[in-house]
Amino acid sequence: MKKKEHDIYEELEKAVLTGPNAFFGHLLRELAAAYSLDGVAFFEPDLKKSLLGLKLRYKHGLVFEHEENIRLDQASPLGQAILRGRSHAARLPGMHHLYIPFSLEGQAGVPGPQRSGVIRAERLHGKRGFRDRERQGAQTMVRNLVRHYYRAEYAELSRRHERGMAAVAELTEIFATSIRVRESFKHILTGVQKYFGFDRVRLYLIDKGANKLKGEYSADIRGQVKSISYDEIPLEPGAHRFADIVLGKSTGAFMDRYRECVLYLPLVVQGSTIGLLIVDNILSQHKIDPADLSMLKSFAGQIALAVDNVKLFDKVEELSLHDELTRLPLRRYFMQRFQEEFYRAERSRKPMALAWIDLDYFKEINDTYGHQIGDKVLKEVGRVILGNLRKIDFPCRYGGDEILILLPETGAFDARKLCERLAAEIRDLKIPVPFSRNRELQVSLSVGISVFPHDASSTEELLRKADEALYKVKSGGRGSIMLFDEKAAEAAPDAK
Amino acid sequence: MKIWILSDYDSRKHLAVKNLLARFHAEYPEHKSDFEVLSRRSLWDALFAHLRDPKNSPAADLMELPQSWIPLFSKLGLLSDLGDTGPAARYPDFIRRGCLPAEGGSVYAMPWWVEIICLHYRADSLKKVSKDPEADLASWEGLLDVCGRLKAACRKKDYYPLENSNPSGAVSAADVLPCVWSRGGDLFSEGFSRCAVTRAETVRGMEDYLGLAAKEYMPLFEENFHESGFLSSGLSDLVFSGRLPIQVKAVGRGAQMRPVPYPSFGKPVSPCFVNSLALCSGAAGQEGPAALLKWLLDSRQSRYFSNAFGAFPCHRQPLEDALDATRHGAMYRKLLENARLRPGVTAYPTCELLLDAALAGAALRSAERDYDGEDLRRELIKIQGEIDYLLSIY
Repeated sequence: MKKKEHDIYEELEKAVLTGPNAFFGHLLRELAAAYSLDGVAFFEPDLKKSLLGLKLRYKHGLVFEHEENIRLDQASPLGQAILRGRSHAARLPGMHHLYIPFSLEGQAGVPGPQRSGVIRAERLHGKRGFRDRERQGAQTMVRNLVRHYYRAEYAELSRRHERGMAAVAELTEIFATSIRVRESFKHILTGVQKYFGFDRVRLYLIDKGANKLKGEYSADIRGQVKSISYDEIPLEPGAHRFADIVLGKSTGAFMDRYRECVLYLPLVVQGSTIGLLIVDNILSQHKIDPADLSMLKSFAGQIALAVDNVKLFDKVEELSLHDELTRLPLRRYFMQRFQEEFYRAERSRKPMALAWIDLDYFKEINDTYGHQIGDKVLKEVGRVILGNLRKIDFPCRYGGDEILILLPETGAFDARKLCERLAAEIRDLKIPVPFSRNRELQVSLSVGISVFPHDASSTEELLRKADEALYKVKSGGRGSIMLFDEKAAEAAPDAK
Repeated sequence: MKIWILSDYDSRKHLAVKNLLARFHAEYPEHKSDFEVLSRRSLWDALFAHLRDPKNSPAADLMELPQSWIPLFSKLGLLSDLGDTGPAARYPDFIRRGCLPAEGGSVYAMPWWVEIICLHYRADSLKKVSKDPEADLASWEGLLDVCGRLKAACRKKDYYPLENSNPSGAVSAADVLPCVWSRGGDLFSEGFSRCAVTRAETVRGMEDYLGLAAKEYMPLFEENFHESGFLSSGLSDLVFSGRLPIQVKAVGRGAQMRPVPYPSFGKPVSPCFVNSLALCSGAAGQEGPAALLKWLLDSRQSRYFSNAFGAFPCHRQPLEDALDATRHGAMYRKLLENARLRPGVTAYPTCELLLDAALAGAALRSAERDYDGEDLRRELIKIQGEIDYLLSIY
């Protein structure tokens, strides 16, 4: 039994909301049912390539996508139908075809470029051909149905608009709050990747001191972020296309071919380029949507500002937490980490050592050679310490010439070995003193070590015991290393 | 549960899926399913849309994918590890080698059906121009010669000796690949460390294939009135295809198709293209899709399915049965000894996509009598750079 017009339009409503493909799928189904067709096909012109593309087919009760491109022969039945702008029936080997061209031109409010197309109704040979009445009826049905097409486009447009609005709101929030920590780079990258849906987003920042463009992070299609700090590009013309883009000297030659799936976004703050954001769809080869492109461009200023804020914050934080001279963390920062590491050691039941270091006769060095030489000594000692520690170790300039080193997962034996190595390396330092008789200065250390859990059960106690061990060293003539309790080296699990 | 099936532009395949699902629902009424037929391009777009925005672009629970896409999408975390999939010995050696991981490796997809690419010819038509078609069509030179003779002998308007096996009407990477292999070329270097699309043999292989259109032996961008193309209309007598049997009933009862191996340049080549089934890792419930996957891969179902549209099943025994059922089983068995599958490298699908675009452009220019080999070579240099870059990061 043939469907009533009311039912056809009710189902059309659902298809309209799903999008353009569902709309045409519905049209093919209805046409096949109304005119007992063996197959129906939908063609759409590709104006850029001057081809007519077969996009959808209906057969055996199923709608399926097709990709067939046809160069239009004006003498063919298909060409005739398009040329005359009205339906055209043709008998071909084994088939009866009816071509029904339609245009969406003139439809009020159809967004985007005007669309048109052709429907090909198919009946197998042996069945009757298409009579005039059928031809006209089918043409009217197609034209009545496609009148509703603009709503499918609107539904699609509305979905994209909603997505865009959500992106604007969330990205603005991300950029506005991205000043707290360096992790913000990751948030910015994943924000851009997620809301614009790129295969990959990479951030490079200019290191003016080193005259380099340095890789920071890369976010992939799964939103996973990884460091690309290994990627360093000399900031010289011709060294790399990224350098040329940042320096404003890109010829654009590389981008010509792939410009539709790679976008370079120089980050500029107050007229000065601070870095480069590169987004690409190289893996998927999806062209970057012009709407996304302009939105991203409008966001470029905000992204640049957010990145610059993060950099500034990082610099301020670095200055507030680290000693400028020795590059070692300051006491306040140390005490916070000390507490955290102590809890971790308690929880994991792993040992932890604390070394309290004093530079021997530092006051005398300052008094004799001046503060400039004293500062030089501190700087060199800081360099040696930072160069000899593991990532998990945490040193600090506790005050004046006193340095603390927290050694997580380390017992008395290993702590002493490390301090011996530091003392030896510092003893080998030769600090040039131009106006002295020896022309150079040597420095020695006194070190007191306490160990958790052997010597103490709290941070305060561990500090006190290390200080007491140091006091013993200093009382005994300086220049050596002492554990608070020598038995700790025997009892410690690492004492081998 | 939602299922995505590749269109492959063959309604016999879609009908077979529809029938199979009806049978599955009868056996397992608790598992409701719906399937959608997508073109390769749409499937590719849908998978990336899902990766970018899983919430607003849900993927199907079960999907058919070209085997060459599996390494990429498993790496991107889109596919479920299928766990224990049974003994690998169920598969013939060439499938096991090309589609399944080494022992202990994760399995993300199961081979479903395979195309064994051959040259099919209409025996009744070729009788008029060749005394021994099998010998004449053994080499590329021989193919060109036969095409020339067929073209000269036929007075039909719009006659092309060789049907364009690409339903899009253009030329794609999949079309030129057998020719490239036969020339001794490849898309990747050994070990897949570099892209090799600019290698002389590779370029020659592509140009040999495009040359078929330039000589007007093969149509480009022509309207296909029938699903099985120009052969059905009697407007072609040869076609490269991986499926059997080709329908030529429309042009008369005497029409008879026969397969011969892919014409070679001295090095015989047996291209085989596999499509697999995979489960989406983001599927809400894995029980139904996993049950359907297992059921579809059962020998009985896979035999029915591949036979419905002339392809071959991937399991050893059903494949043997299918080969026994053709009159050319011995030839196919020999071909399978040297079967060559698309490589399992992450950058391969993108490489194919870029090549498709470059070759479609070349085909369009060829159809407009504006083809210049230099344009293609320039494109290939850019593709090589792009793929080398992808190889370095993925």
